[in-house]
Amino acid sequence: MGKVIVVTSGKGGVGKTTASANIGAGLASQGKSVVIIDTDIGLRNLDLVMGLENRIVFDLVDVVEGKCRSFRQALIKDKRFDNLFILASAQSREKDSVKPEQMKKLCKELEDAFDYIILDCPAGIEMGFKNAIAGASEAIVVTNPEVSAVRDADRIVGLLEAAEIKTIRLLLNRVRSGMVAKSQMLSVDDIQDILSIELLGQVPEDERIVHASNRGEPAILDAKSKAGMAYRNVVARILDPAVPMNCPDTSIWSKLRRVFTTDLGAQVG
Amino acid sequence: MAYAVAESAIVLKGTRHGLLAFVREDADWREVLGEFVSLTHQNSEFLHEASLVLDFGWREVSEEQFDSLLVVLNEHGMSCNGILSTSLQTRTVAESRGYRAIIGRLGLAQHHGRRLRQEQVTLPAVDPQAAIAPEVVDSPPIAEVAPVAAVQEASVDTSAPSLVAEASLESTLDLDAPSSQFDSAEPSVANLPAVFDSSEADGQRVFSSSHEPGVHMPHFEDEEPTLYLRKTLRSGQRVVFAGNVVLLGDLNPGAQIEADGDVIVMGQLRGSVHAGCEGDEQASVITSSLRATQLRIADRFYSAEADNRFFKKSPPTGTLRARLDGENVIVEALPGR
Repeated sequence: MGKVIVVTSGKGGVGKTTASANIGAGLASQGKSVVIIDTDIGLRNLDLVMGLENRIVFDLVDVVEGKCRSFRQALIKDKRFDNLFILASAQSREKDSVKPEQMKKLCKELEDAFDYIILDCPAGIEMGFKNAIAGASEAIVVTNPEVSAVRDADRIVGLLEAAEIKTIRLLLNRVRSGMVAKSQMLSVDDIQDILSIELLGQVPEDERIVHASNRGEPAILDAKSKAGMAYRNVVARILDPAVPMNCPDTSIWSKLRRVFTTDLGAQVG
Repeated sequence: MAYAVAESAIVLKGTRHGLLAFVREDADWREVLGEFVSLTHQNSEFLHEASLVLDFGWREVSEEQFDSLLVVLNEHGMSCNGILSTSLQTRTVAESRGYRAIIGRLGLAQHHGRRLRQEQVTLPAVDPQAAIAPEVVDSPPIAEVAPVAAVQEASVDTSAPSLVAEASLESTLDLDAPSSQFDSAEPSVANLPAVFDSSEADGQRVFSSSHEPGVHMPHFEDEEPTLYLRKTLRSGQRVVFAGNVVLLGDLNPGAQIEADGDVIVMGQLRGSVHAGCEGDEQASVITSSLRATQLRIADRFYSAEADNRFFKKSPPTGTLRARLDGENVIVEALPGR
């Protein structure tokens, strides 16, 4: 029985698609069978980030309308992992071409075939959002350390709670630790103070992730990328909540300090 | 009255927005259907072509049950204008049949309102002939009516369910008889709590439920109703209540509380609060952390610019109380122990 996780944010441009792609690829790299569904009908993006655009034959709307024999025909296998699939959204249709009940039914079918079903939710709280959350049992709310993104995330959490989605976790994206240290950016504590939901992870702002997205390579596979490292931690924490959280704190002094304190702790212990 | 209401499976109520039918949550479904039929027979003129909003409360209505109810309604020329329910299943069923479903429950009115605010209840499209005044007892003023009402409860108890329905309708329709026995026990719809979801741009309202975990509505006859909420109100959520509101949780930025009486926020107050929103100048806001986006009492604003003590790095701690002092809203620290 697979888990259906919706990746959502309310505000646009906070990194939902990047997060979906990386978490999906990360789970697949850990041997799980994963399908990522792009539910942003009309604004198809996920296939670009995954570098699979040229393989799309059938899309989400075709599946719910029964234009292909089964969902299996529409799933696109990833280049890198045999156990990772994506279901692209339709580019030339509207959000209302899919209904929440249809999404629920599709998620039910996919649950039996995959370990993880990741739903990449469109921005906003309208039809596309309602479709995306209809079949989900868990949610990852992506936000940036900006007041507007946090406000929207708060709204989304309220709506998810009303939709009786019990597990809601926060992914803080594009953190710039330098600015946080200078109190120019909201810190994790400021954000947790308002949202008060479980923190899944923090992903630092990283130029390499832009490059990776443009090449269609999930950054999680890039050993040098700081964001990729953070996503590997996020994936580990999805698989096992007991895994401690990595802090994206990059200053050499804080790293040294951490090494010293851990060592001291180890000696004392 | 509360017990009398609980005896019948359905209670009709006229509201500003039309007819509302409360369907008792624990009533047998056949009883519900039967009562709809008998109601329509006894009030055929009044209910003909009526459009009802159905409040199912927490009842989980199955598809067959909902369809059977629609058949009964259609047979008698009535239509469903939407449903209220706290049950996801019920809402899903209603939505799958193309009806608008709203999260929440107004419930059977069970507490005593402070003010009856009848002027706000406009007459729904009703033939005045149908509104035959009930046997209005020459009642003493409301403050003294409680024991009398208790006696009358017993008498209503034994009466036919349809009488209860008719009478509670009357209580909201009969503007000239504010002291009728039903008024003392039957609050107007305005007294019921509601969490509005402002995202519904078309004016659709999302009511919070008094049956949600953590929401209790104590009621005392001589005190005004108080809504006790144990949850965090998030951006876009709005609570409107004709009474006091106690929030055991945060009021996040973008969330709103509007109360006739006092507002007490035990968590972080960062959203907007309007106490005494019906003009009660004695109303106050009590909280331990005042970082409200907006604070209003009666028709006055709290001007944070003029009183910037609370926006410094270390604002006054302890319990704070905002109240009206003449023309201005002032914030004072309540003396600690």
